[in-house]
Amino acid sequence: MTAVAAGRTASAPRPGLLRRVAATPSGVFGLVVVVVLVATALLGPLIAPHDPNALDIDHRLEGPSGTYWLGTDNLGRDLLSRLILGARIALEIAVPAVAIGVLAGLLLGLAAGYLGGKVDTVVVTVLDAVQSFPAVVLALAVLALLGGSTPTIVLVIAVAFVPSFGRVTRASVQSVSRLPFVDAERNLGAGPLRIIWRHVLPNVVSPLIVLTAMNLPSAVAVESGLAFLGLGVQPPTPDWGVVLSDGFDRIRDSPWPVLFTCTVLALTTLGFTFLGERLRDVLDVRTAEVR
Amino acid sequence: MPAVAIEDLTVTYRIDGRPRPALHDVSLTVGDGEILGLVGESGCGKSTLAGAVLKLLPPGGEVAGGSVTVDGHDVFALSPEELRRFRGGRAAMIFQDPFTSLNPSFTVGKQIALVQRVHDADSSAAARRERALGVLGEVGLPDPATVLRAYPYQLSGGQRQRVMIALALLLRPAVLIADEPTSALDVTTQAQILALLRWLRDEHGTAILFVSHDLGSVAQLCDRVAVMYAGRTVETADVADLFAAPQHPYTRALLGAVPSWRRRAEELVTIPGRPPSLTDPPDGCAFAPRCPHAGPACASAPPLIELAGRTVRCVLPEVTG
Amino acid sequence: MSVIKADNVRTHFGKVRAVDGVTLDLADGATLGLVGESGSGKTTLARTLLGLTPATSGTIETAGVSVRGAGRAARRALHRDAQLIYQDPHASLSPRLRVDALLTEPYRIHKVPDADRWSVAELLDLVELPAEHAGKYPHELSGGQARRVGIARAIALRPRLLVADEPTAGLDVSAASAVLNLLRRLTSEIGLAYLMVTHNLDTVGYAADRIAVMYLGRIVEQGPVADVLHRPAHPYTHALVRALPVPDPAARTAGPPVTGEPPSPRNPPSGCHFHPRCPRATDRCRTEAPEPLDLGDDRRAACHYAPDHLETPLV
Repeated sequence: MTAVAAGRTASAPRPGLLRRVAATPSGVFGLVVVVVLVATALLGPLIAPHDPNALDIDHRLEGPSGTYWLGTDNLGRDLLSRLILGARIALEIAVPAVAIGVLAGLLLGLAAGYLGGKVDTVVVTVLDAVQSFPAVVLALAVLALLGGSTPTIVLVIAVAFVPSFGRVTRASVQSVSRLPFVDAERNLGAGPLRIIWRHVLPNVVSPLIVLTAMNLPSAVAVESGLAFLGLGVQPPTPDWGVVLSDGFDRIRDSPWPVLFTCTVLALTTLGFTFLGERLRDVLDVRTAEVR
Repeated sequence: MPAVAIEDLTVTYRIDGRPRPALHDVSLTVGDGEILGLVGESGCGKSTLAGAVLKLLPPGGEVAGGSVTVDGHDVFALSPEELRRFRGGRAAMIFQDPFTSLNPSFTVGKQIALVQRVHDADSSAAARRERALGVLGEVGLPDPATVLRAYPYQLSGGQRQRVMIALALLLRPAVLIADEPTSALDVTTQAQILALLRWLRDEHGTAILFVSHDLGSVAQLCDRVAVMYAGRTVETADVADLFAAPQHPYTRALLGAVPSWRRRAEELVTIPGRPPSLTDPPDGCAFAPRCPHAGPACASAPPLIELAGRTVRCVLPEVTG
Repeated sequence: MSVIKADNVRTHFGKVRAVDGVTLDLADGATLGLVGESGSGKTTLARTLLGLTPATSGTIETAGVSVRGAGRAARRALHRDAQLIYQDPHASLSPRLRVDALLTEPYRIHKVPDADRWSVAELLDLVELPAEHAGKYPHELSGGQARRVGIARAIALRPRLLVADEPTAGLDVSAASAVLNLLRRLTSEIGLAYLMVTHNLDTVGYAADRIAVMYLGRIVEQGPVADVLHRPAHPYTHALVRALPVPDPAARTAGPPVTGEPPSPRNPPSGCHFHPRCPRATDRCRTEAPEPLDLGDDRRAACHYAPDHLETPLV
């Protein structure tokens, strides 16, 4: 088969994905936050100025100083080092949890949305059942039964996310499946797998990417929350929730631990959210700004 | 005094922050009780022109020059309050898709009442209802009382269009602007609406500006025709003259491109290329890139030539005679 | 050889009798225009003939495949030999695929060997699109260009039958004429049979040799197009012809040829469906549904008085 000679020389090549994401202030902010977070998580112990578990009772509950840039917690541990390690823990749990949730939700949503009928009824019932459990109660029950190990926490969070991903995917798939071009592909003789893979999936992926990006900080918040309640990662591991909990206990003596931890959590949420929104705008072929 | 007098009207749209002309110095008149057809393809500016008569421009649209006088009133000089009374009062408009032009949440009766509240506030409720029933009957709806109670979705396309015309008629406007009123209708319903429009002019002396891309409807309904291309009028003439002896190359091409079952054997004319975009207007004659007769003289904008009651915007010798 | 043989086809959706007893024949290489207004069932009929909408009863043989109850293999053969051009040009193109991917899709689905394929450049050339359109996305194309891509996809597999649903809908006069000329050229060059579904008599007159007029799920008249339109045997056909605005101001018709609205297929009138709007309806029309009468010269009409209308032309 001879390839088309002219190709796309007529129009200028589209700038790379990264450049397009970074074209707006919110996109830049999101990228920076995410990059810094991931780098921090990866480099963890290498960049922490102190051992996050080293005690320094004489200097406990101090504010920012030359030695301890963000101050110390109730046991004299360096707050900055603890927060840096906390980043790794947060992502170690949040990323797999969301990944599993997305994948499971995607598969269930595709099946339910495209095949309809009994498959749809079963999937929707399952999703509704999971969703109707209050997340906290579910977490409590599972963790109490299976213990608070990291894989269990990841699974609990993943399961909590499956219903929302599943429903969004299902709704997206249903509306895309009704569009004439899907009918047209069927009339050309395409089978369901081909249609789902090539025509439905690319058109439902965009809202999912946004949802993923926006749910990552939720996952972080949930696991921090669980740790805060004493259900997830246990002290002395410097999970952000643990640091927050310790900070709350002694907030009258020093507001710094709570302040800094909350700031870090807020920045993480904002950063991922902005990145998600920017990705959505860039990935939709129709709204993308092509120069 | 003509019902509508448009003089040197220029309208621009804001695209990418810069104003681009959609209408260039357009001049047209619609005589008292006359039906003028406005033809052209998408992007030629005919809908913009129709809206401009009532100072109804989409967001980003601005009048950059010229004037519109309707029934003696300078439309652009009206205050917002005067404009409100003017629209629906002296001049009314009907659109292509009556479903989106009628409010789907209100019954027909309610929508008529809303118009009456603005323009006919002094009459009693009973008198207003009488008038509403009367006008619905005039447009040929067989059961006006039922229609008054109906929601738009309960009516057919043809019925909705009649309701639109009734709404436009309520205050006996001197001028009716009809923007593609039959394009979304079946051919048998279309014939009925065209007959209704003709009756409007015959019975009430309403002047009509009939915007359409359908040359057949224009031939059947209109007294005079103006052909538009790229924001300008390229030809105006009496309807018989235009169809019998089109002068402008675009008009000729357009007439040759319309299929007719009576002339099956002839190959349809195809006009190569596409109309110019608003953001990239050519110098000189806008049609020259697609014109089979284009020559060096077409590099500068052709003037509007008047001959024997017609106008043509072209420099070619066979046109200017 | 017939590329469509349909006998007494009915397609009902609950109480809505969209197609209500249609018998139709289309020879290989022939062109047929299926004309009707809204509610006539013409689009449903076209989809039923292609097996896209299941028929309720009747037999349909399209491109040699018995459409009703066809298994997977038969359906694949049907898709290869009979294709549809959609009414909305953009809606039928997968938005995230570029034109070249869209054009090679039919070949990949049916695993057509390279030697039997047209290249992307050749397909674009066939539909008179410049080669650089290959890299564009559907939303970057105009209505006319998207329509041509749709046509290219439909003919890529060299089908025996092409069904076009309102091929000029939404197009300007100049774009429409280009598409009609293109279709005319292609059907004669590639030699495929062509069924055009439209409400526009002028388009049908230009593009097809034979015409079938539908009203409320039934074919009321069929025959050679010039013949039928010059001398209609059915009052509805006559009304359609008279309602059609002629681009000739000298030929102005007196008044609208028919009153009332096209009825809904949910509640069809008794007897002859057209009788409430027919100026010549008799008692027989109100009670007895007319069967299609053979009028000779390849013409058929479902009207009790059809032969009379041929004798003394309707005015």
